[in-house]
Amino acid sequence: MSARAAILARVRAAKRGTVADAAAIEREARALVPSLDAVRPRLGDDEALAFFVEKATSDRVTASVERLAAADALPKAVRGYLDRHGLAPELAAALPPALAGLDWPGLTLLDGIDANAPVALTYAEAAIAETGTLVFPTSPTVPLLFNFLALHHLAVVRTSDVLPHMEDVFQRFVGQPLPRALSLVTGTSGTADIEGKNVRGAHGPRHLHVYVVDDG
Amino acid sequence: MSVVYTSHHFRAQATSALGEANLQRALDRTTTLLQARRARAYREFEAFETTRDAASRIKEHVLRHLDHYLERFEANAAAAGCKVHWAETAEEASAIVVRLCQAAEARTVTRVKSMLGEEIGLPEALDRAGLERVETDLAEHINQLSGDRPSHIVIPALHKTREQVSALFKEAHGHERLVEDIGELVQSARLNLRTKYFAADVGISGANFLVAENGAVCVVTNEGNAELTMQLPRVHIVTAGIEKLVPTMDDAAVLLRLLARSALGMELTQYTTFLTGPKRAGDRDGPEEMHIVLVDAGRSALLADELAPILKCIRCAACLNHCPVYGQIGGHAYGGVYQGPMGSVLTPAAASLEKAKDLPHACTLNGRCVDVCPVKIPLTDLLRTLRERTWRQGLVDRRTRWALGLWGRLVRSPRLYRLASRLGVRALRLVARGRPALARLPFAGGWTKGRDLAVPEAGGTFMDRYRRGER
Repeated sequence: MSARAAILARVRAAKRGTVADAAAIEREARALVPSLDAVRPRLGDDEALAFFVEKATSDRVTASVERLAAADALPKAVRGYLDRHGLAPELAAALPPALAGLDWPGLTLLDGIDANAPVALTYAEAAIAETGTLVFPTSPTVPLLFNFLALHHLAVVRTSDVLPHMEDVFQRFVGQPLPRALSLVTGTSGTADIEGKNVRGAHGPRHLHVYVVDDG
Repeated sequence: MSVVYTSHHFRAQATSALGEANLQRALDRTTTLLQARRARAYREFEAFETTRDAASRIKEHVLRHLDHYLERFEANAAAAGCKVHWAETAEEASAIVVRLCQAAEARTVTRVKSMLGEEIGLPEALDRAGLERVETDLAEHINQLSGDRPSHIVIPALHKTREQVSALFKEAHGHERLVEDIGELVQSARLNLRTKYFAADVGISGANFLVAENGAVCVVTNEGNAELTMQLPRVHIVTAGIEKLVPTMDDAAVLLRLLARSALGMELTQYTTFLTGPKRAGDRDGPEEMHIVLVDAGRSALLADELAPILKCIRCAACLNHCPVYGQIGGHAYGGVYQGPMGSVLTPAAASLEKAKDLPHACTLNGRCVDVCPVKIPLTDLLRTLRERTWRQGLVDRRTRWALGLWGRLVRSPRLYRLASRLGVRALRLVARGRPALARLPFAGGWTKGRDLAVPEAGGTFMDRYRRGER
């Protein structure tokens, strides 16, 4: 007997005759969470955007947030960040065509990222207010690793993409396959591995700066 | 035999742990901090109790229909381009991983911390196969350098003080002076590991959740080492216990909200990634191959056992962090892969009750672990079940058996019990000769070594005084 058959046989034997068809299991599964309000924090009267900003900049998430009135303000804002941190005007960028095609005076956007890139600029397709999280689904135009290699992670998200909860993000993928990687990024790379003390910049970014672009 | 269990030396190991100054310092610095962080996270989470109820129901539902969800996950993961493998035993699982590494002609493999990997003896198997193994989790990097085994399922180097890590890194990373700042130590590991991520041929991870509805593998970390490990090399191998399934993404959300809060007092781990298959046409990064090894290693046997609720465990370590015994002796004394209350249930299943018979007895039944468990595992009940088994299987030593047998006879007969208590009170008062407490007691030297025994007051037993109307 194959390992697969042996394991499944033992699992079925352990059930002691409680057989259910797929439809009955589905019904039971749907009743597991009676209401979404029972399994997540309430955001209160705040709109999702204000909640997102509060969470993202909290002591647990440690990101900084900059509001931009329109997408064309992005190049100047990025330039400002690099200047403030004494960084060279060159950065790895993985942006959708509409943003990459903006005028980026005095800045070089690199198409690839190498092991020691100091800055990466990426585009989050959504954000989760509940936890101050950015959402990065991969696609041919959106690589994953840009979010994990640089010490400074700059990310762009549109106000209309700021959703209240994790489930709202998952809802976007119902009825279609998930992207190869769906990455939820909540702050910077950190570790509590030495004496439980929180330290940032473990393997990935030490700084996360979020541009929230008004599109609404 | 892949993993060497030393749980049969528990008493000696626990005694020596109590005397290790560095361990005691590390435990003091960490466990109280983790308790405070968890408490804060739950104070701010109003829906905690109802979320816990839902989490418990989700896990029980999956275990009830495990065959259904395993098949569903397998079909969906395969449709996404994953190759799914099945392993009945720990040895089989690590052999499959080694074979996959060899088929990929790998020389260097990177690993993300995975307790299942430890359980199936994967580090040892990779080393034996002559592969260069790089542990990328900071704590596992520390353990790899010092040759230690994890002492905690979330913070595997919890037993090390920062001073010890300094000394270790000075040697291994070639520092000219001792670096004692924790931030600088982390930076040193970052630099040391960065080039190794890019040199690896295979990346190996565990899984926090397997999502049946779409075949996704969910892996969470705070360091971001998982993504670099899983997505940079040509081949990604996942090893996961068969109990890791959840029906849907929304169910994963319920458990994710509890996992990080329970472990470290965070609302969500910094990096929470769902992976569905290897690199797709046109993708700019990602592995060429993705393999998932589904591991039984005793789980299907547990499913048919009274101890089945332990399969609900999501490995958050809240029970370790709140266990007064773990807080005193640390993780190594348990002599297994898992520690604390959940480890005391799992190790007897993995190593045999005979080899781990002391673990279920090293518990005060105070119940803090049950109070903090996010999926409501009745840990103290399970430990009591194991205690009963050690009794029934004759694993309790003769003196304890004899004493408990006598006690059993006494408490079953109220008349005998009252007589014995009366004699006891009189004997103690006689021996004490007016002193309020006894520092030493014949035949109970072990008990009085750490504390005094209070001598009963005058006036007889509680029952005597109660009957006389004394209050």
